[in-house]
Amino acid sequence: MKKITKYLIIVVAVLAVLILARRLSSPGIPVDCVKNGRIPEIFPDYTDITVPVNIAPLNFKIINKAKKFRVSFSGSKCKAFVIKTKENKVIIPERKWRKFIKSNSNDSISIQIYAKNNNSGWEQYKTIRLFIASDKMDSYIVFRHINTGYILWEKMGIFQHNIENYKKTPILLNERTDRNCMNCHTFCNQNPGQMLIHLRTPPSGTILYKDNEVKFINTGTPYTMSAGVYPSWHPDGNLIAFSVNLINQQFHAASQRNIYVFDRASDIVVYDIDLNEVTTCPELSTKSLENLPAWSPDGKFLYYISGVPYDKKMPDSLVKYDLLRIPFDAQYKKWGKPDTILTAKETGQSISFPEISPDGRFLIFCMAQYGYFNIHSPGSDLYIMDLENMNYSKLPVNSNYTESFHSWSSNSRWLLFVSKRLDGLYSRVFFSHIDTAGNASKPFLLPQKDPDYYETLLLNYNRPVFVKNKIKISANKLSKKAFSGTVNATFDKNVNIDALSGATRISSDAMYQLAD
Amino acid sequence: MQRNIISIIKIVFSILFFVASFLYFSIYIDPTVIYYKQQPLFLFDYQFIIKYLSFPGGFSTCLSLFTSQFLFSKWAGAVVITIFFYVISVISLSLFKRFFSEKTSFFLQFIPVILLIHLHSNYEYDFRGGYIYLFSILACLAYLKLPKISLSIKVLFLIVINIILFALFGGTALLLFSLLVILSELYFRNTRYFWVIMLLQPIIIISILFISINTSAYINFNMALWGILHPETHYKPLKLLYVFIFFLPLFLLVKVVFKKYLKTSYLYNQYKSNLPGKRNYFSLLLFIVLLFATEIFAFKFSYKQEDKKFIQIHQFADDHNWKMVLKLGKELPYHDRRVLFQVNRALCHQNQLLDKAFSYVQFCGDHGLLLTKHYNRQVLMLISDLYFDMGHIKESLHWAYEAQTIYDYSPEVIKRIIINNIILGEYTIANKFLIILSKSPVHKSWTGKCKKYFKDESLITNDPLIAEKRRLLPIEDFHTSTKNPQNDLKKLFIENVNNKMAFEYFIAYALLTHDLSSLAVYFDYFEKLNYTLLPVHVEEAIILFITLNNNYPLNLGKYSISELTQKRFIEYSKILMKYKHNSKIAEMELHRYFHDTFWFYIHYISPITTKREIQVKNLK
Repeated sequence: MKKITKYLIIVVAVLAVLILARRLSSPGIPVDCVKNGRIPEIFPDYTDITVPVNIAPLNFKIINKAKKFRVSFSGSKCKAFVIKTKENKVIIPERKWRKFIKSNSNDSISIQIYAKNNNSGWEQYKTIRLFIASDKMDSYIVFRHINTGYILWEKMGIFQHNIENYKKTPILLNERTDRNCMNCHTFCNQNPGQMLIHLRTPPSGTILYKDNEVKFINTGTPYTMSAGVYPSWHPDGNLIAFSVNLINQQFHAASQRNIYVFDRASDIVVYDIDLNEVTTCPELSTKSLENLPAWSPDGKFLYYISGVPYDKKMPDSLVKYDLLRIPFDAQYKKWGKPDTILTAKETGQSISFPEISPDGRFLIFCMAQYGYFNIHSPGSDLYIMDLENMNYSKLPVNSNYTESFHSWSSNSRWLLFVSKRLDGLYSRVFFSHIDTAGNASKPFLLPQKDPDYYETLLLNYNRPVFVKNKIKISANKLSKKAFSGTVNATFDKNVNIDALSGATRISSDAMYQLAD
Repeated sequence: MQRNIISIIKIVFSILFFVASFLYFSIYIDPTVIYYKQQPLFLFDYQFIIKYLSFPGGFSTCLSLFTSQFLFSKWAGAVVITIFFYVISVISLSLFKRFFSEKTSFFLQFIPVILLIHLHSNYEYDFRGGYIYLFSILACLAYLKLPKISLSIKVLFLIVINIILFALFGGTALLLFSLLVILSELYFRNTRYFWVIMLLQPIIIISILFISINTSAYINFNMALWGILHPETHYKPLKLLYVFIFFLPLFLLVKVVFKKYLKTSYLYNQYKSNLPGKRNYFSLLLFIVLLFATEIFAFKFSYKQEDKKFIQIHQFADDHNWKMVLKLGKELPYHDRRVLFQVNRALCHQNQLLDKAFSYVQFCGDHGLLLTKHYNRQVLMLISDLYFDMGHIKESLHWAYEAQTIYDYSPEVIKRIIINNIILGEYTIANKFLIILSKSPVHKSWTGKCKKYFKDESLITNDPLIAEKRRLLPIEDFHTSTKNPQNDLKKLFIENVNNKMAFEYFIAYALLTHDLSSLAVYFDYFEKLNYTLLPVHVEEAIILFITLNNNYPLNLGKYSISELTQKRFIEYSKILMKYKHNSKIAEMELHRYFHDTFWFYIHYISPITTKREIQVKNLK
């Protein structure tokens, strides 16, 4: 018995040495292979992209047909590793990937694909190169998942996705709130501890999560045309600028667009969390269509768009928005005079969704032929403006399909946006690196563990934003709050104009009631 | 010998029972009708399956979808349902045997099947309830089969099985399993740890519920506790589903009570002592007859012919079997706007809309013609169908997308999205949905045909259906209207004079809404569309228009009102005059001779005249 054990140990040891030796001598790269001179077709397209050092493994699918594949990952600062697969999916081990990209931070890496068919030898495709930027991306993105319905909905929810490990978890699903409509999740400085979510239909209101406390607020008042719609959180954390809108939509019978979303009226208000009070100023509540507020990172300016007043007879194609900003003194809540930054007349297009980089240097906005709700506009593209000289240019990240809903990472080096370029219908998240001069790298698709993930997914990624860390509040707490009834916001007694479009003076009687 | 005969009787009865069930489902219920109603789609795709594992109870939905896809065929569907029933009865028997005598268990095993016959006779009912029942019993059997082991292993088993059941089959399974475990413990009391288990099971349930509610965003307390028994906004569980889930614990409870209190009672002992010593076949046969009668009664009681016809009218419309649509239209209640919608559609496809529309009681007026004014989840695809028919493809696609928000993986919806996008030349979008549908073996042949189209675009241009719809596509853009759908129709036929369907619907809408001026304004389109004769209802409307508007001459061009219509109008007027224009008294006689006329409609049927409001629930 002892002898057998002894022999067994020897055999196992020899085998182990042999395996180790083979491993060390050849990492799996085919020795005799023919270069076919072709660029491999892979999905998602990872050629010549820049990725952050904290991105999850970039698993992909090889479109070119073969019986066997070997994929080598190499970089100048780390030993190469090879993945052998008979399937066309390349699934990279997470630990290996993490170590690999960390070692090659701020450097290029190569992906080399070898393919073999039954009767032929190994073929070598052209090398795919990508750059590992040392600039980290915020770990989470938060978005709404929703079907492609325009009037109806059944299931929707706000989700968070960890870009470091693909993990997607729901923050709040409408299954817990009577299947109502929810959106416009917004964070203060990408902070997961300061969040708001609108619930549009009963139980309707705005869920406000701040300092570990959840409030459910009705931001609508008799002096605003609606509850708050498109929000932007002031960097001080206490003020939130909202647009108030009367939104309509129309469907096209024979246009490239399916739907046109427009406002019959819109103004901008600011909600004070501590005072639970809504205020506005005559410049932000004119008869023009003020919309889509966005604070500058220092909180001294509120950027917004403004369009000519609604006219039923005006053709859709003439509804265009300008980009403006208005100075603001947060301490005294004093507004300055608005300044037009860029007009539709200059660009020939309609501007929407201004977003300023956290370092205050760049402003990214959308432009499309007309209107402001560009997610349904196939011609919507992203533009970047250097706020030092106010020059703007079209970003090289655009495609022939819709690009919209962009968001900056907290370090201002990463831009995310949605694009419908994969299939022309569903919005998917793409990332691009923006360097200090404002140059954007080739965008890449939000990586998923299974490269086929998007193939059967019938949900849009709606309004994705970066968040620094995981949102920890439970859906149970949020939904419970939603059913606890809203706290009604009050209207500022110190301003005597309303936000019902046109900055109408509030009558003395009404002011008296307001004071009560 | 006696035992053998009893076994043979049992086997024969079982065979007959399940054969009857098979025949009932294949002949009467017709699984294809269930399939059409539910539109299940199961994809052999990792992501599709994994999606159902992400929330408690999702696996039962996944299994149900897998099973339901076989219902696309009448015979295969009936076989699958019967096999499913058989498995349920066998597993039930295994559990009953633990509590009851063999003979009693044999009969009891058919009770869940009879309940399932009723449940599956409802065309909306899927297999989830059955799977939950099945796996809860299997879990209970596994628990009862545990050997006498240490408490810690038993506790570990309970925790694991509870978690698995909850994760895969949801709160209903957890509830059923817990009741069965507690009742089993009460009945057998054969462990030293009786009270530990009795206390532990509720603690495990509470813990699972507490953790899941606080950590999972997918479910609230009610959903976690009740699973599929919890009604939601658009989901109402059938009442019998509660019976199906709880009858088993109820039987066991009776047995437990019986064992504890009645078995020792004087009355029971008296009864038992008076039983004849020799067993005969009589009681067995009596029970068999009773059970069979119950099954037949279940068939009779469960089969709702009207429900079936109501689904079939849409099914026939999808197959363009317009004759059958019109036949069912006569049999189904006229107050349902969806029935009238399909009847009007069928009439239009048979070139009879403006001749025979009022042969059917147009109880809903224009709401039986166009459904957009009061859209809800029940009519989304019907709206899409109609606009598809008349080449209003972007609008057809719009409503298909709306339908997709509710029935996200419905093959019917996906197919419509594919076809519409092909017509519009949006091949990338069409291909996206084609890839999805091709993952279902049931739709392989359909998707195979479409895939050929993408490889050879000439096949698309030569496809008669696609070519026809492309010819009808509006060229000039306009904003569509849900509130005033007649405006869409007007734009469709004005721009494309070949769009006869849009024109006929426009005229039918005008008639149904008493809008005779629109008829007058667009009268010249009858000539443009090469009508040789005026349709009967148009004649009826024009004669009325001329009578009411003496000062407004209507140029009929090459057309004239037929003598028959003129004669009938005079007769109609005479009857009215006979009753001194008292329409209430005249109604019976007018109905006898003129119920199929436009005049009778505006006098007695029209919701505008009767001031009847259309009632539609759930606009969302």
